[in-house]
Amino acid sequence: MSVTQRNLWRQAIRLLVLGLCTTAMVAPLVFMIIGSLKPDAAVLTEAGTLAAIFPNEVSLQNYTDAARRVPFGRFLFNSALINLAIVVLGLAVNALAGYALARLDLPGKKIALALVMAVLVIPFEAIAIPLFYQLSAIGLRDSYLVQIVPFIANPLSIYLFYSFFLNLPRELEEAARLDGAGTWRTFITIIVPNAKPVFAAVTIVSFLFSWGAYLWPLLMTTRAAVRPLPLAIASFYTLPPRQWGDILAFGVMMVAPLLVIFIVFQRWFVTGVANSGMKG
Amino acid sequence: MAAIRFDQVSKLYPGPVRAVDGVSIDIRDGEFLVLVGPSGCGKSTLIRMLAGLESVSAGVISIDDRSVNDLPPEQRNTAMVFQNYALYPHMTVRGNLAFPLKMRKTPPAEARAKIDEVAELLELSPILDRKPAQLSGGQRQRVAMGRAIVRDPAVFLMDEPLSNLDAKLRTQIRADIASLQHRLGTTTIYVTHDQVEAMTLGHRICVMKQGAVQQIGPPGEVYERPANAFVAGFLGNPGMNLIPAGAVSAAPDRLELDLAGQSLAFESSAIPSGDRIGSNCLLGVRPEALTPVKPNSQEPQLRCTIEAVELIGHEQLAHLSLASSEMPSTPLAGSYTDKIIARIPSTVRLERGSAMWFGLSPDAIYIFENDGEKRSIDHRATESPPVES
Ligand SMILES: Nc1ncnc2c1ncn2[C@@H]1O[C@H](COP(=O)(O)OP(=O)(O)OP(=O)(O)O)[C@@H](O)[C@H]1O
Ligand SMILES: [Mg+2]
Repeated sequence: MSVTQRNLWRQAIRLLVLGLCTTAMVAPLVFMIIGSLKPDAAVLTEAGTLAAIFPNEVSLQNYTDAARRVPFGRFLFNSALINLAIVVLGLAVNALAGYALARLDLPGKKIALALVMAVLVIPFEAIAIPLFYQLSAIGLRDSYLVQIVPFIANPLSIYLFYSFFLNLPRELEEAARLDGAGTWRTFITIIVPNAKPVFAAVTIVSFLFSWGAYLWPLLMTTRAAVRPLPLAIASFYTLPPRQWGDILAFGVMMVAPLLVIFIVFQRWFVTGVANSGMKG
Repeated sequence: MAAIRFDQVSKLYPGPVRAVDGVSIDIRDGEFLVLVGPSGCGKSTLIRMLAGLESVSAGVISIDDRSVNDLPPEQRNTAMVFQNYALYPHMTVRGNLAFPLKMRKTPPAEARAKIDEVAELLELSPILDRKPAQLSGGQRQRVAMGRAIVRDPAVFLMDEPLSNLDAKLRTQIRADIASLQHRLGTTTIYVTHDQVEAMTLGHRICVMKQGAVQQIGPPGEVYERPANAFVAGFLGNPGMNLIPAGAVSAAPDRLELDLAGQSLAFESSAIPSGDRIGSNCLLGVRPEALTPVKPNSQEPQLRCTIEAVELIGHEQLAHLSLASSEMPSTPLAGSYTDKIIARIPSTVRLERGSAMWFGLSPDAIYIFENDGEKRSIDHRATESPPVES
């Protein structure tokens, strides 16, 4: 075998492996998107066949149906509002907490950090019920607030910020202090602009977590007026007739905003890492 | 413009580590002081305390007779050039220069004029719109300097600002810094490891060891009249040879030393007689003061064995030992050894393993007390001006 031939083989095997992995990842998504375009009855009957990917007929009927059966706009608005609040307030609160833990000279800092770590491993389901009683007792049920406030401070976000700030060169802040900026100003004008990658990461992670929130809104809300998207998609299963096409169409509509967020913030990872101005 | 005073300043880190130990230094307005000392001796800690980046454990630091111990860094009006420059990565060069002015609420028109002036001075004009990542090491260094001078601080602090540059660039920027400081007349404290920077840059050198000041004075004077064996061994490249010796008491104006079995006698009115020195001392002699001679019993001479030779361009460093085949070297107390280095023109042929004789002129030698703490004799007092206090 010549060198070029061997390279060709190697290339082919590499493509094959990559192709298989990609298929495994993308297939469910494709199934969902294609399924959402097919008549309800065809979705399950054609599931194992080639028609699952190459449909015989295509229409947007499911989308209009789904939007008619539940007030999609309302649910989307609720989810968007709740998530936006969680992410934006969360970035502010968790970034400051992470910075304080990483840099400020505070008594009891080590204990606070240990507590954050401890909270990180407690599953939310384990505290959902006591939290339900507590928040019901103060009359917060059936509101946006109850779906936002408990999720603003997030141990994972704090930890991500903490470790990023810990590794940021200290001299950057010291230079800013000497140049005349106080602690707060230094944080806003020097730290934050250089922390884009971690802000992007935390945005994506917390959006992913809270966009799919199901158990908590199910416990705390009864009115459709404040309920988020995941509860709406669940209602398709309980409202007969069960129409798979509609469910998949709704799924597509629910995932789309997440993809947009991901694509927008993903670019920040790259630019953030590339423009370190320190001597390296 | 400012005069700076450290008054019995100490810094204790938890541990406890005494990073700075009772340092008192007076720095005149406009003076250029160079801080040197081995790694970990507290140089950075000292200037960081002045900048307000570290708290002061004891003592008082004042700028223009006003204690700054309790002022936050942003109110001290000091500027620092960091070893890694610490340029703001997300701002252009112009943004970096503008930042300290913006923080001081300088009117925009004035700020622009000031930035242009500094850019002109440091030849930054063509790169004003670039980000730090798009600059070479030397350019970054100049931007860091520019950011420090743009707001006319009371004090410049520089912590090994050239150590990340190659040798050629370092030589060039070293000269630039000296002339810049001369032109601006701003009080400057400059930390370095580099012998040449230490000797050439400052009005005065301050040598530190383990958090304490060993000697302060003009470079020539500290070099010529080191206060103790540490300073003598630290300055110079290579530093002064320090050879443990036994002093044999002798007649007035005569000092007889015993170096690993070799006996040397010096006669000079400047040298006190042996009984003033004590039985043990260190004989100090600079590598360049060791001159090869023919064996001759009339003058004080050292017989050495050549152990290794390093050729460095127009001269060579001979690594010598006092040991000979008949007289093996004896283990010596403390950190001092009988290893000697001589700086010899490369025209002289040196052969490894062969013996060689070096003449020692009485005014080229130093005698330190055994523990290296103090200089026992000061036979150069008549030649040099008195030490400034
Ligand atoms: N934050 C800290 N906590 C504890 N010890 C410290 C701290 N910073 C410095 N030290 C110690 O204080 C001493 C002086 O440190 P410093 O950085 O001032 O030395 P230096 O003279 O600048 O050394 P170098 O030439 O290597 O920069 C060292 O022993 C160091 O280990
Ligand atoms: Mg240092």
